[in-house]
Amino acid sequence: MDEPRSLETPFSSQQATVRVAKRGNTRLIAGVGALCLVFVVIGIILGKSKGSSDQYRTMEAFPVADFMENYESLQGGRFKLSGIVDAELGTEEGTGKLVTFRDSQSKKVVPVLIPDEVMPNHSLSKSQRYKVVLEVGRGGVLSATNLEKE
Amino acid sequence: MRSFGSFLRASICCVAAPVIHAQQVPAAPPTPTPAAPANPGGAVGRPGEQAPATPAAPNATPPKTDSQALEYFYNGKPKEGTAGSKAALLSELLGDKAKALDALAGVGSMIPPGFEAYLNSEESEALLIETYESSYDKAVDLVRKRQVGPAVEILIELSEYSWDAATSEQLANRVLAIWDMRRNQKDLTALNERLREKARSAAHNFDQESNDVVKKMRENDRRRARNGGGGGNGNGNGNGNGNGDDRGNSAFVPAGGGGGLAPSATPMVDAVVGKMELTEEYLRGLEARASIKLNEVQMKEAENKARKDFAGFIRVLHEKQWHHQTKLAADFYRVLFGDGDLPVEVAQMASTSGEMIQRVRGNVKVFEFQSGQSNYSSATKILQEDFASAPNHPVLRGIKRVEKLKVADYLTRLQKIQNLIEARDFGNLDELLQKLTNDVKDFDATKPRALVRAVKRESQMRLGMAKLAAQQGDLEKALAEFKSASEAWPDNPDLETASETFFKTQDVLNKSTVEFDRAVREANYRHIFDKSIEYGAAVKGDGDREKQLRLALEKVRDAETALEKAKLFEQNGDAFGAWETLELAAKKWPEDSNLNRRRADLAMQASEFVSKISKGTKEEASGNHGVALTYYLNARADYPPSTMANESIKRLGDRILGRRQAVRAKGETTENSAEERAETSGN
Repeated sequence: MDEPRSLETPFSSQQATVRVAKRGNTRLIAGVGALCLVFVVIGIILGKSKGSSDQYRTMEAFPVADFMENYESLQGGRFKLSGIVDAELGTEEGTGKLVTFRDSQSKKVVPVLIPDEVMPNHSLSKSQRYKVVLEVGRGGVLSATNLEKE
Repeated sequence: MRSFGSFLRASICCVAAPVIHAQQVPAAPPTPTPAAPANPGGAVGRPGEQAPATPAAPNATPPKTDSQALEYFYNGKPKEGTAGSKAALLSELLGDKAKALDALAGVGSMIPPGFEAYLNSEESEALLIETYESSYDKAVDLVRKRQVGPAVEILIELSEYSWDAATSEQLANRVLAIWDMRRNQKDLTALNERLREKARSAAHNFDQESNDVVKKMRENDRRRARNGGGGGNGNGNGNGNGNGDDRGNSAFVPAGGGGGLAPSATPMVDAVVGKMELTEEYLRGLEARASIKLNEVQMKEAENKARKDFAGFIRVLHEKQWHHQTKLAADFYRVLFGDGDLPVEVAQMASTSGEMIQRVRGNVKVFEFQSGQSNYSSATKILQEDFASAPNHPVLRGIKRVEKLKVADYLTRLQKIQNLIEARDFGNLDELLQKLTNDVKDFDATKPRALVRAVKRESQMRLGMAKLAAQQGDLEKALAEFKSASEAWPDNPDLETASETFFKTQDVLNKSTVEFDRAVREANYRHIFDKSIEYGAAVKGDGDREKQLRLALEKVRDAETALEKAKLFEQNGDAFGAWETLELAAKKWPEDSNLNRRRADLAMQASEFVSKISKGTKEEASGNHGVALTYYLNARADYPPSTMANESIKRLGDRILGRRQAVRAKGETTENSAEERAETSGN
């Protein structure tokens, strides 16, 4: 059994560098820097205000076709799936809810098991668009690790 | 034929007797008891001697101890068979012999041998018979006129005729014997007359002699009185009874008994001599009377004996059915013994014989008339009765042989009819009855025909029952009914056809059963479906085969229904539905070529849907439930009413959600439980 790959932040390899301006242009540079800092702060604030969607931005979209052809190559991986709720196949207390999503890209219908801890108090409505982080489990069973309405 | 039959019967009995004996011996094998071994060498209790015909017995040795007795009981006795089984075997053997005897008895003629000989004998000349009859009547007339001699002469003449068998001569001899007896009686009567004369003469002489004696006695008394008298007590007996008053006694008793001396010797001697003569005469008379009496007794005895013998002769004549001679003898009896009335028994016999003579004379004329009218049934009856009651009647000898042979032919035909009825040969019987009805006008074939019809009807009914039983598969009852039908009418023309049909049917049924079994083994259900009617009849009553037939027919029926349904889907442009219908049907019967061929055609048209369902099935079979569910979901997306997709989605959804009980209850999963456990633990 392969160990699930640890999720790394996409910014880990791109550490921000702050260059120190020369004294000659100190004030200008300081001003510009302050301005930039303001922008950065504003950007951070704006980025935070935009929600978590951005956190799956770099997550690989779920390759439905590959999954259907050979799920074992994807087993243990986490993928994001953007789609609309197609149908609810059933709910089992202690297990979760089995919901089908129609993938926005491939238009295929994908069954996803949403455990209770992922969506304890939520109810899904048909035709709603969701972004689902899912994990390919044994036997090709897709389990949602996160669920987010788009 | 009868004699041959009797001979054969006797021969079989003679042959059967030792066989039966030989079989009876082993039927009662020695029963070695603890007491029996004490006499092992005796005639009783030696198995080797008592059961020589039993193969197992010769080596049997007499048990000498209890252990040997038990050994015999456990090992020897069962080999010899039980008494019951041997008795049954013997009974069967005797039954077969009885059947054989019965069959041969039917071959014999029912005509009595004497009557058959009479029917085949040549007739006597009518003139001779007339002469005989007229002579007989003349003899009867003479006897009634008390002219016995001429009547006897006629009897001698009658005895010359062949049919008389010298019986008349015997009667004549009897009459002559009585005549001789009568002559003897006359002689005895004459002798008696002479004896009576002699007795009378003796009596007369006696009287004369007694007078002389009395005179002499009185003379003697007077002389004695003159000579001094008193001789009253001088008689010889000394009792004082010699007085003259006792004449009677003194006359018979000689007086010389030792009395006193007589005065004169001469008169005394004379007196004694006279008394002797008197006694002699007396005895002579007694002898004559005794002889007369003896002769009279002898005559009476002879008369009685003659009467008895003659009555006995008449009885013999009557018993032998010599009616002419019986009647004539009774007339002789009346004349010879002259009593007027006959003894009751003789009178009855005479009356019966006279009646028979007259009746047969009349019946012969009736016979000739009936025979002339071809009424041989009545004529035969008359002739049979007359011959039975008066076979020696001369007029019966006068019937022409041609007529008698017709009677014989009629009786032979009746015998044949009887045999045919007994043998149930109704085919030939009809023909014979028809022929007899044509030839014999007064023959009534109603009863034989009714019997034939009844038996034929019974046979046909039995045959119908046999067919019915055969159709119902009850072979045992069918065979029993066939046997009954055959016994009732062995030549029933329908019997052969029915039995052939029956056995052919049974043969076909057997063949059909074999073919059916082969088709089941090869799962060739369409062949079974095509021959369902034939196989249905063949396997009727066979529970296992009936079940197999039912399953086969259901398979084909479902397949055909699916093909029809698929055809309708296809006509509506629903290739997915058509394919799925056949796919579901193929799961129940994957070997059916029709389903597979059509399913392959439709798979081309619905390739995308088919591919998803197929891959889903494959993935499900591999335990990849998530992938399989994905395929089924997408297949349903292509064809929402898909039964296969919806059922699979429901099944896999439940499985993924852990609803295993429900899944197992449906029994639609192919996954093993180990894998499920691993999956659950993985999740």
